[in-house]
Amino acid sequence: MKILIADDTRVVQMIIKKSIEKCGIADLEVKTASDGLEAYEVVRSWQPDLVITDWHMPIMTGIELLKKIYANGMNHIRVGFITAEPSEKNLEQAKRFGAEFVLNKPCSEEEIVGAIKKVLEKLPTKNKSSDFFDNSLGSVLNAKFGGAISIEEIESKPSSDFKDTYLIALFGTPISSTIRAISVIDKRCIYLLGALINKMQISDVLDLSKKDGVDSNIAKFATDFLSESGTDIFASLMNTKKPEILEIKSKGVVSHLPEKVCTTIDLGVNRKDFKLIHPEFGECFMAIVTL
Amino acid sequence: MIECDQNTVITKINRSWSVLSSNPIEFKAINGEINPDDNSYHFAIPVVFSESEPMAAVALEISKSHAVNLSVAMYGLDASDLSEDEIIDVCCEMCNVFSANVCNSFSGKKEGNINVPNKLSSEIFRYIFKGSNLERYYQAENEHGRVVIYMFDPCNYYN
Repeated sequence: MKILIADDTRVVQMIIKKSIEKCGIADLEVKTASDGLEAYEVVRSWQPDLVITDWHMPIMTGIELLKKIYANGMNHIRVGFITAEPSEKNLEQAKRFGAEFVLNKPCSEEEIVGAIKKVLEKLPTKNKSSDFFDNSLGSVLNAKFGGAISIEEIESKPSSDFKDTYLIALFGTPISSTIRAISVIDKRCIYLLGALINKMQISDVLDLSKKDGVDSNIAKFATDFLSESGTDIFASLMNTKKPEILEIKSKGVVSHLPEKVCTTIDLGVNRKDFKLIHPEFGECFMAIVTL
Repeated sequence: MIECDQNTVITKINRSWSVLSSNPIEFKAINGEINPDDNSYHFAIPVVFSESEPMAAVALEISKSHAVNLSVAMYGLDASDLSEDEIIDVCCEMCNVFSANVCNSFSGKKEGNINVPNKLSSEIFRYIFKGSNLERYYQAENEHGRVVIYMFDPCNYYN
């Protein structure tokens, strides 16, 4: 559990940190920032689960920080305020923009602990989600392809290094909120999965995959793969069962990922990169990121 | 109306102090003359009502003894372990909280927006005190000295 405290006074950072430590959170990591901009930079690079912020801070206020986090697609990050801000109108605005809690300074340790615990109750536990993702994606693919391929999780490479990849965005919903994922799949990987789904000879598809340019099979293969596995991938990514897929947006093969997509991928929460190995076809890669 | 507001404000101020400090003191609204204490720490926060109106300010004057005691309570450290920066940090937070307590009670003004606190030298505070309109102040005093919350409207320093 990663928590960022944003407040321009060190004593408040310390008081909040002490309160957090009394919440009994496993694997707790806490970072602090002294102004809104510094907090945003930490949010971008560190992706905390919860940001507890003051309202009045130098450079960027707490409400500006909240808006910037959500405007940049980091909707999974929870934000709460501990502030002396006296305006009821402003505090209501914070709630409208998605603040989980708003506590008025000075507040007691019990109030802080209570507010954090309420947020914790809403968060899926990270390990559970992660295990489910790993097992599920592996089992989804293996169940579909009868163990014909082996799957290894690999270290993520910079998104700007992806070349000749098939880019697909998935939009779906569990019950109460919309979920999104981006799949960046090596062109060869699409051929492999397409061949397996369509029961084609690997050698035929291997030849196709070596050709320059884009052939018409790849879009079909990508669609086949997602229609077969999209729901299960979503379920594994979001730790939810049988989500409804609202939309699949396929960008097709891109030689390099657009800069905006790279930024989105780098900000994603649950990014996992996999290497798929087929004895005849060789290795290919895919990355899936939830937003 | 103002009397009623003052009672509400005093309740808020007293609560703020007692939550943050382990040494409760009782603030009172004072109408008489006051002279700033140059040996105390001074802090101020601008208060903005609208773009067309001159800015007001809330200032905190706190004796060094009270400042240290407050810092001991908030940091949970011995006085000898506290740095000057840590004491100022605590007083800035106290000024911030007091400003929120009083900023909506300026006479004839609607909701005020506060900013971040600044530490002021005693010379700058005297300049503010002499050139601004002191609308009201709240004071608490005991053996550790006094704590004063000044409400300036308008405040010459921020206009």
